[in-house]
Amino acid sequence: MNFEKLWVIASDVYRKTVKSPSFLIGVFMPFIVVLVGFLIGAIMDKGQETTTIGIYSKQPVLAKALAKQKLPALRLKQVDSVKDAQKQLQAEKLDNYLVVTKKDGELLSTVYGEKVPDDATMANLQQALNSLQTSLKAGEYKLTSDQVFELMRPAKLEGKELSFTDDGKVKTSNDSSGVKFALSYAACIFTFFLVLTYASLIAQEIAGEKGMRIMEVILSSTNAKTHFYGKLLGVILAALTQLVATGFLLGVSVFIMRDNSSLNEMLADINFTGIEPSFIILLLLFILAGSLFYAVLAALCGSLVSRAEDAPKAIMPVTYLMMAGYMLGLIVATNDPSNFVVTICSYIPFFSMILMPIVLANGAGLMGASISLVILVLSTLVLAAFSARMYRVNVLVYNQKGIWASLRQSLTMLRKDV
Amino acid sequence: MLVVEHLAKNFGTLKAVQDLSFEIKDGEILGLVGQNGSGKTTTFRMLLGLMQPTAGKVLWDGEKIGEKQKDLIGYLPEERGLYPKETIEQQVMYFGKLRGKKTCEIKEKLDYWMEHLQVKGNKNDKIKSLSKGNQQKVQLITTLIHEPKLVILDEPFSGLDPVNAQIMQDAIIALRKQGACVIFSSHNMANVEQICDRLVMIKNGRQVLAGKVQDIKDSFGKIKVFLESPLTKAEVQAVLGVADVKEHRQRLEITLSDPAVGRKLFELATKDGYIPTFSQETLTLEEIFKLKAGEKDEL
Repeated sequence: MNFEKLWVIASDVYRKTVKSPSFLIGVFMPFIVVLVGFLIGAIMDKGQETTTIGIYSKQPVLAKALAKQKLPALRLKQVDSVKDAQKQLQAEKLDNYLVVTKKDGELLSTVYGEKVPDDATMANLQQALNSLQTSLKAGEYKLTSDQVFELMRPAKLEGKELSFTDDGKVKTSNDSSGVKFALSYAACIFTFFLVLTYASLIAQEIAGEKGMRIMEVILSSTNAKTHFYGKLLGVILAALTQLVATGFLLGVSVFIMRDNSSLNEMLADINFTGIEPSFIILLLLFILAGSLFYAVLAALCGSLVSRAEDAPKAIMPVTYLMMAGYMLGLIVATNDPSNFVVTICSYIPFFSMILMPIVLANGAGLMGASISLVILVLSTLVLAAFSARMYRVNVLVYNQKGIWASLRQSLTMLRKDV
Repeated sequence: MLVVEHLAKNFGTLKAVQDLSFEIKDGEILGLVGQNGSGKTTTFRMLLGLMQPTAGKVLWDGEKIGEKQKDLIGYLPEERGLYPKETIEQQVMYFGKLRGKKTCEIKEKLDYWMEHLQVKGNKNDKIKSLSKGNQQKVQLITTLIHEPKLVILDEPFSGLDPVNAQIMQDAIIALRKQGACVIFSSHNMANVEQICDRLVMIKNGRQVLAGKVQDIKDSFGKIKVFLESPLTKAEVQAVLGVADVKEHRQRLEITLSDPAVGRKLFELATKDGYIPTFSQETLTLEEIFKLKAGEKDEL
């Protein structure tokens, strides 16, 4: 292996890949999706009209106190009489009006209008009335504001994860399965698109070089092994760049939006403390090793056909395998992570990079995941070594009878050591 | 110096190349001729180290061609191919670096070659925007940019117009001056005759002719006679030792089975004195090629 030439090939593949439209789309896709979602949300918010509700009570103090409350998408306005309210309703200045009476220290209220307000508005009104009633009662019982606060405080409920260490001790940790699940789910989708993009890129490139006889020139400059590993290195570097670029953009966008209240609320809801670094590292390793595994397969398939146009057909088996893993992961593993088939497949190299992160997020041990990772890495190495040998022969076979015929011919030639 | 000894290649039962031997000294041009499917490309692939020979060996300066020798090779494949989306410079740079050259060395040489081969276009033009002729020139640049010592050209003249064919021919002759070993295959015997020092002809994988161009021509003897005389076609045909007669207007094209018959023919033709034409010549390479290939229609 000539490392200088390996690097020439890798950097050439890297340059071409990073400049290709599919790479840029890959990097920006997650953000485009989020942005579109954000825009749709904003449009829907804008479209929502504020409901104006008139408040009437025989005791104007009550109506006044209620009208002071600020509620989302709701404007409360004190009115002087039911008649006045009806007149305004007719003039479409009000959507509804609310009549509040106090009987035996309890608030009895009725909403009138051409249409009864929607559930969200009713719930908001209910809440406003509840807090008004509470403060009225508190006044009656002469409670201090601290006492009211104490009374109102909800009971606590939280989930804890139990795990057993090897010496039989019980360890508890905060529940983080939701976040872990979301992360493994994201990793699964990311790997899927990464593989689809790079598999077709690498197969196309190799088939094209073969078809245009560029391959013969390259192989007269250096050996097939150097070329094969150079291509893989270039693709892996591009995949790493995409991973880093996506991570970087994610960081930048969180930084820019750090004052955005809804984002902060969302982040506050997420329990990051329960996520062990080992989980993240395993996730990244699965993404990388998985992409490499499929890149090797795609390169092998690409070298079996003679024209760039045939490359998509050649990587069809690769795509189907990937698709099978993806379906198994998103449909079966999501609903039933301890499913027998899922457990078996999470150790099989073709599927483990998709399934293991999901199984892991659902509480499987690190031990199993590590074994699965080792299996994946070892089979990638074996596959790469085998493919590099096949590659030398494949790139000189111009068989028009399809990839299986080419594969058979290559294997025969390999045995005879052409 | 390239030495090929008893080279053979079998694909299963098919004997693609059998017992091929020749050598090319530094500063020599060898033409490899043969019909389609005669084994030329297989021979080139073995010279390039893309295929392992079944038997025999290829030696460059006494050593087997391995990784070390690959930087010395320049190869132009028969089917032309470049990356269409790359610029001329990116393309030449990539192939140059693969032959172990540095960026700055290649840049310098590229300017020279662009001008020398009269490539119309800018270094930053994409390959797909170039005409076919210019693409072929760029490919020749990628073949020669690293100043190879062993240059292998598979059908370099195919598809070139007469002007570009002349540029190609000049480039090959320039390589000889630089002391490179050049081997090329061609269907065009005129090119071979003009620039080759040596010739190897293969048929169905077997070497049927090998040697210096003039020696090969001489070995067939002067068996061609062009004759303009009172003799008729039938009269000439009746002469013992005449193999074939073709009539072109008044001129007869006569093939002899023995050069000595020429004298007899001359005496017969000039028995009444003056005749406009009697010319006894060697066969052209094309005629030798046709003769050896045995199939006149496929050329």
